[in-house]
Amino acid sequence: MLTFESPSYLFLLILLPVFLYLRHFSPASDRGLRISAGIWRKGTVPLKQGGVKLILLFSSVLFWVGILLLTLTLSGPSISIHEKIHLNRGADIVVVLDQSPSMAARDFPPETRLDAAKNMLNFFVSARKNDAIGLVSFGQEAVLKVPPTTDYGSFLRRLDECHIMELGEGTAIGMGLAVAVLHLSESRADQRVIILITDGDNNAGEVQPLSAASMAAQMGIRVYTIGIGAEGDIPFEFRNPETGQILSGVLKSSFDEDLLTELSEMTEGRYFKATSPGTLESVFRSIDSLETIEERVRIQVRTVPLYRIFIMAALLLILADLLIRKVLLREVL
Amino acid sequence: MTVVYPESFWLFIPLVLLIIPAYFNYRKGHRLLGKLAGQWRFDRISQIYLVRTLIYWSTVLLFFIFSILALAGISWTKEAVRDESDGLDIIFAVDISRSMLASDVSPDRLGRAGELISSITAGYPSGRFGLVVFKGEGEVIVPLTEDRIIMETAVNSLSPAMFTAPGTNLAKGINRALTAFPEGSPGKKMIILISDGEALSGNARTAARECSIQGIEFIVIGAGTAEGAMIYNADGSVVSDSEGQAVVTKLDLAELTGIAESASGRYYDLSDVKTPGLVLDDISSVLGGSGIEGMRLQNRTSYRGFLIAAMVFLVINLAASRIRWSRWY
Repeated sequence: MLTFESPSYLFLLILLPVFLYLRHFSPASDRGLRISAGIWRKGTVPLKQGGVKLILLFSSVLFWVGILLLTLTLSGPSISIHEKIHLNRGADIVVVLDQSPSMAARDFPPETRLDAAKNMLNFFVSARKNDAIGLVSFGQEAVLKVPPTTDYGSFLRRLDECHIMELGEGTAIGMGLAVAVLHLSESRADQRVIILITDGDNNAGEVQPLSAASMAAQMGIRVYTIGIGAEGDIPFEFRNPETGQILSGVLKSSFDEDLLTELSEMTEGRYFKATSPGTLESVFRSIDSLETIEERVRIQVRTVPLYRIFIMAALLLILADLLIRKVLLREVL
Repeated sequence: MTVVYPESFWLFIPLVLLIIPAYFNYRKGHRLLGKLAGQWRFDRISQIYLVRTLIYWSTVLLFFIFSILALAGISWTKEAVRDESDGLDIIFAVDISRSMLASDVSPDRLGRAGELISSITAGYPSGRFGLVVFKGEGEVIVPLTEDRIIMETAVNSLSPAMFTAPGTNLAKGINRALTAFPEGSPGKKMIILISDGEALSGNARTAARECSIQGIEFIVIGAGTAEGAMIYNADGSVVSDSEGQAVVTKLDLAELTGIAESASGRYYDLSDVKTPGLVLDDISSVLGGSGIEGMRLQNRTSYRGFLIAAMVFLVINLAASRIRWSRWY
């Protein structure tokens, strides 16, 4: 929004019509030299000045618009930007995402489980305002991709880069949880939360899921577990990132619901089963409503001064007027 | 005195060129008046015309001179403004070009930069930190976070191999650091730039000035020495240029201090053992604010005075053209 820091200077605009009158309409506005035209051709000299007058009019418009801009500049034009500043701390949330090959199953048509989970995370993150969100991926190994941050742009960019089998073939749920716990261990947030999204059994890694959950419980970190995908025979297709080969087939899908339930109960979290796009969305809505913190904000107004743009524009207009009159029309007086 | 936009002074050069049309306009007008007015009053009219021309063009020039001074954003004083920020968010912008592998600073420039970052993060445990690395482009490696572990891991892995973008562009690094602050944070903002200053492209001073305009604190850490050092490949051979001469990389002190000045920031030497302590002192003083609770000091740009002067000369110019000089001559 355009605002003026010192609007009292706008009163100077009243003077503009006065100057306009003095320059163009007052009886003294004629600049001229009295000469006799009769001595040349014994009569009046017809002068066709239609084009010149038009150019002069255009030039005058440039000049007065320039003056108008300069007068506006005195009043300090600026753009006001309203920013929402969060006064209290939100929760620290780490999403632990399974990237094992089974996440390529297409029971969320036309998307794979991983794509469906990424889309829902996108939606979930977009709804957060002040919660620091991190991302841990796991397959055979686990890795922290984004530390808990409120830079949601960075989070979403790296989430988008997650691909099937990027971290090997296995499903190291325990390792994924342990990495998330480690990176939440120094957090000073009142609420610390892990959201585990997986579709399989723990079959890799040196840390057992229950051990990792026990560490989380001791630190007061809540773990929400989401078992994603339907059970039974599900078609899958994905490109192996190492070989570039496209692999497809039918997956006998199942996951250890008992383990996921136990992990969440140990840490006072909840277990959710998401077998379809609709249920996955409702799962994230549930977590969203469970993890709410009273938000205290203040609106900060930041102003971006525009005086340089106004002065530059005014100078160009006035210079254009000067050059038109003195160079193009060769004005003498 | 601080000049926020010193490049505005370049406009004085085309302004000097205005003398050319002024001169030709005078000569043309002088000749024309001779023809129109007749010889019997030419001397008198010539005098009037000279005075009018001098007044006209001198007021025009003064109008442009003062307008350019207004554009330059000259500031003499600081003013106290309301500041309700709480805490401090720091982004480290680290140059990871190959010249940062020079070992004129022990163990090498990049290694020493990592040590400095670790000292600062350890010395200010309640802060949030982020890490941007840059070569020809800039990239956020660690978004703003309280997670010390990931910062430590990232700092330990600093290497030119992290990023393939060729060249060195300090401006890209600073601009990327500028955008790494998430919206809605109540904290003050600080960028700590660590580089040897050897840039191949980009205008780092303009980028640094943007930090000052946005109220972001800026610290520049110079990595290297004026004597410089050779750069070694992984196989131990010396990096050489196209003519086979060994490349010696030197600290560009003038460029780095210039960047610090443009951002109204401070410059420190990476090889100085006092630097971590001095940076931590700066962090404490930023957190302490101006000394008055809830207030901070910022430059007060005095463009309005120059603009009023410019407009006064324009009014004189208009008024002078209305006067019937022939009454007084």
